[in-house]
Amino acid sequence: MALHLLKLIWNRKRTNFLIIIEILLSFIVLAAVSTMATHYYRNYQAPLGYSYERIWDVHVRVPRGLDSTPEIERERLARMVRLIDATRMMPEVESVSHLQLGTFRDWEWNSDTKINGRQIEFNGNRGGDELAETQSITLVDGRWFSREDTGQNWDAVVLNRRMARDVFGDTRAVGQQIPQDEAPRPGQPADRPRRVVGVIEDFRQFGEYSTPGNYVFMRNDIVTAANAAIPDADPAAAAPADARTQVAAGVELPSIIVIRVRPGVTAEFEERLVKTLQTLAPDWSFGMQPLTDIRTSYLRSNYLTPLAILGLLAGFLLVMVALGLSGVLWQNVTQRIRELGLRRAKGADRERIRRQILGELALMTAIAVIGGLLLMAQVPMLGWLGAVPKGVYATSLGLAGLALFALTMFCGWYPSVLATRIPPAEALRYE
Amino acid sequence: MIHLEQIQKVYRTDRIETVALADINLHIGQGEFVSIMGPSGCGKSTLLNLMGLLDEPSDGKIRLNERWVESYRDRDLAKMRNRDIGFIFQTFHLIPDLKVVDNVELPLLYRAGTGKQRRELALEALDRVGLSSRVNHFPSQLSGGQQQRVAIARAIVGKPIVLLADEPTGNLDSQMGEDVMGILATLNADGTTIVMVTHDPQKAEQTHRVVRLFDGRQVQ
Ligand SMILES: Nc1ncnc2c1ncn2[C@@H]1O[C@H](COP(=O)(O)OP(=O)(O)O)[C@@H](O)[C@H]1O
Ligand SMILES: [Mg+2]
Repeated sequence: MALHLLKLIWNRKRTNFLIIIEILLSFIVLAAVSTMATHYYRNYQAPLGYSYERIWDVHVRVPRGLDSTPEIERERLARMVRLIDATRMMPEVESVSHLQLGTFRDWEWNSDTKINGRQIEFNGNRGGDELAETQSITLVDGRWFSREDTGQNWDAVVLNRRMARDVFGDTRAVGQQIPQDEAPRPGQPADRPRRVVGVIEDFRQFGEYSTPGNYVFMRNDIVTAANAAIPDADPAAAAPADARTQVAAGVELPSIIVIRVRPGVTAEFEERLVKTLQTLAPDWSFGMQPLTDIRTSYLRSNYLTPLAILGLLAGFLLVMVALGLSGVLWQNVTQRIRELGLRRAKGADRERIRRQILGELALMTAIAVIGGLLLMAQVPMLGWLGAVPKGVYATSLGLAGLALFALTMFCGWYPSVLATRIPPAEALRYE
Repeated sequence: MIHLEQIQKVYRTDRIETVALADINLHIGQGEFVSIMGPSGCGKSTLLNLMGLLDEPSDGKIRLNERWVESYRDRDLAKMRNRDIGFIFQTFHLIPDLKVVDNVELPLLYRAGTGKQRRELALEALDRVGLSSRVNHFPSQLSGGQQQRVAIARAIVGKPIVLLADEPTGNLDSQMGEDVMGILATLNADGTTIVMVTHDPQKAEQTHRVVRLFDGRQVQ
């Protein structure tokens, strides 16, 4: 019987080729749509790692000239410390900290480093000691930055779970130093070692639809840096680079003050706080917004609007594919009603007829899906996957294949039920 | 062999009811060669389709090979069509995408047996209709008479107890028609029971007995 079906399919290769092409194109459309859908669904499901409720972001803009000297830098840090202290004094404020690169913004510190011979890509950020508390960052091991980290001969870092696994595998990351493959460049001081003090669940800086990746937090100890004594400002005594490493190792002026307010705080507070900050730093400017607002507009313009358009297109495509495919398959069965009547006249029961049709379709679908898989396997090789992980892509291809089987089976089953419902005598007369 | 009792067939479509057959009582004995005659639309094909279990009567009973057809369960009917009946159609109904030999093997696909057995039986049947040299042709490469001979080979390959032929020569010119009649006569001489629909009196004369229909009823 199987051989008989193979012969039939082979001898009808011209018609069947068109059907196979139609299935193959449907598969490609389905695979693309389900890759997108799976990718964003999985991203959305992954933990964000922090809270944006009752969080206000103050974006601090500092006019920067070309005159940066260690003293100016130090003065700016000191001023930032005063601003944060003043914010902390407000009764509406539950907790306050600072962040170098704010969340739900396209500010990015993307870097890679060679560790144990492997290139590891990560996003980095600098945060204050209270940040974990302020933004309710979920810790899974160790602790967040604290005063204990001051005055050590290493810099404290916190990794997300993924980065910890990437660098340290199954061994515990906390307490270890991040191995560094690259030797310092000649003439430059060696980098201070970086020690992992804690592991957080994640910090999805770009929101819940972004692809989860490696993340590294550096401690931004602006308090110590602001109070550090500057060695004599004698240009001959120390080069600026040296001064900087000594005075403020790894410290940068934060651009975001992160505030968690008490429940029920209104927009009126924003005005008052900005006024206070402005008094302390008249030549700086402050943009204050609830993080939920920033998040909403960021997600809308970066993900939701494009995704909605894509989703609409995908929906149209899927409907077209489903209609086209079911039309082709439907015709494939109804054109053969007389053949099916003949087979029944010669002793095939209904069940067999349906199985024959489904068998033929399953075979053609298999050919089309295998062809489609071969084509789609080129996508990762050409590097067209972008941020989509290979696993997600493979799963989606599998899903698309299954969905296509379901669709072709249904499109073959239903007309074959109709075709075998009539008595064979009638089927044989069918025009 | 075939026994019909009080057979009635009514076609119902939307609002029109066509009484195609009424009060048919007919017995066809083992080894007979019977022709059914009558004007176009009198119900000949309908009668043959009922005998061949390709349709259900609206009323009445059918006995086939000493067994009453009681349940019209699809699986049982399919088995009887496969085992007991060989059908030949006016328009041949060959599958154009299958070679002659694969067309002939078709009924054997629906019963137990190996591919080798099927092939042997098919070649044997093709030999009986004189088409041994056309085994690997496609139907479109054959003449009408040859195609009908393939259809006859397909009808006899499963060694049925009765051959039902609905105007087997209707689409053929007279020479090819004679060839087909010759084959049927030989098969009958070898013991096959045959019921043939025709409206050609000359062809009917070559059979043992003629059943005449007029407007769905038997006439004498
Ligand atoms: N499937 C059907 N539906 C409705 N009417 C039918 C059907 N088949 C046959 N008929 C009608 O039944 C009558 C007998 O048809 P048929 O047996 O084909 O006649 P014959 O073979 O003698 O020419 C005709 O009037 C025909 O129109
Ligand atoms: Mg007729």
